[in-house]
Amino acid sequence: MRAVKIPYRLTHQECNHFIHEEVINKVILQNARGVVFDFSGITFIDPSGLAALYNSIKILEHYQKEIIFTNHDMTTDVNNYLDDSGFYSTMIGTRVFQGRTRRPTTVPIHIFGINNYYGHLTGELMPWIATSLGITPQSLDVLRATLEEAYHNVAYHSGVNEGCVFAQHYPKRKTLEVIISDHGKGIPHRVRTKIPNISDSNALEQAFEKGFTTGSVVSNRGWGLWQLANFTAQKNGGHVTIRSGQGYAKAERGPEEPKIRAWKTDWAYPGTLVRVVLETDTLQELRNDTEEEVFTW
Amino acid sequence: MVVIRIQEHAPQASTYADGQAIFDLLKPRLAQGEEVTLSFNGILAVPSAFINAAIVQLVEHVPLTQVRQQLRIADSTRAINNLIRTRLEFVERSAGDTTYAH
Repeated sequence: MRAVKIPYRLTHQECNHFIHEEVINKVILQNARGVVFDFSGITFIDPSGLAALYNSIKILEHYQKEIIFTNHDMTTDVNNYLDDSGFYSTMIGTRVFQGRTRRPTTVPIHIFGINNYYGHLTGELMPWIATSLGITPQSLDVLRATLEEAYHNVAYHSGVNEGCVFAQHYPKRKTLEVIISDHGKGIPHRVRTKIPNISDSNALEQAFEKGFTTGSVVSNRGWGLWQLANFTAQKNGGHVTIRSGQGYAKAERGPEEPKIRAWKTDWAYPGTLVRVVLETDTLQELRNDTEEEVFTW
Repeated sequence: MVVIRIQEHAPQASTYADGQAIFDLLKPRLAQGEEVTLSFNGILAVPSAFINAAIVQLVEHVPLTQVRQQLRIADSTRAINNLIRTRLEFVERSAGDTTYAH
């Protein structure tokens, strides 16, 4: 068994390194029988870090590795957070700390099947967002439809049957972060079926482009990620980041359309992690888009 | 004029499969020259996969000018209208370019 100490920080900036070095290199490539994850040293984790932990475990399960947690029952801020966020109950079937309750600023991590995400989205995530922001779920229907683009990305392109969703509200920053992640083939792999020699970072940039499609499935029309970026960046003023393979891309507000930038990362992220960061101040204004309007061609 | 109410056939109006159910109702009618009203009553916003299947796919079978003449969109919201218009404008602009999908 390989001992892996969860790093003292596990955020969207460290998650590639963690999965690549600690999980892929030290456990899978060295053909260890399994892994003992030590939670004693971690002092900070964010939603992307939590999703990276989920992805790590799914990858290890895929390779039939034994997984043991240790020091997850130490009373630390991060262990409390992981317990309150549903991470431990999702992964080991039970809460670690008795008497603690769900935090109002997070919706517990949820593992969705590609054909049954809708119930959680409309019955749990959107009502939680609406309650957090003090607005009606109906006024957030455009956001609901936009987030579906990220779910569809998992359903139509990942090659796996499930993903995870996690969300956190930051009232002081006035932002809302939604993470949708999968442990599938990754976007660069898909893009290379159309453009064989493209780098991972350029592949992510390409995947954001309006109408670009690999044509891998009939439903693939190359619109979902652009729609997600356009809504988040142009309408809301937030941003979308995607990690997949050795690529990292960011879509933020541009003069007329989202400005997309992409970079090569030192370590690869297996699967895809979509991080949607929304400005909560402007979400209420989306209500105008759900007003009835006469359609003319 | 036939009225197809999306909520009666694909109440979630979410996935490509939902859109395909609507496409299967629209295509034969439009191909035969019928006029059809597609009602979004009760639906405030839809993801692109639904519009891709239900409406954009029509253009592969029926000329866009014919779709515009025979298909009436009703009970829709600004968000839905914008998505339909943006998608079909893109179809017109990218016609013949195989790098980009309709």
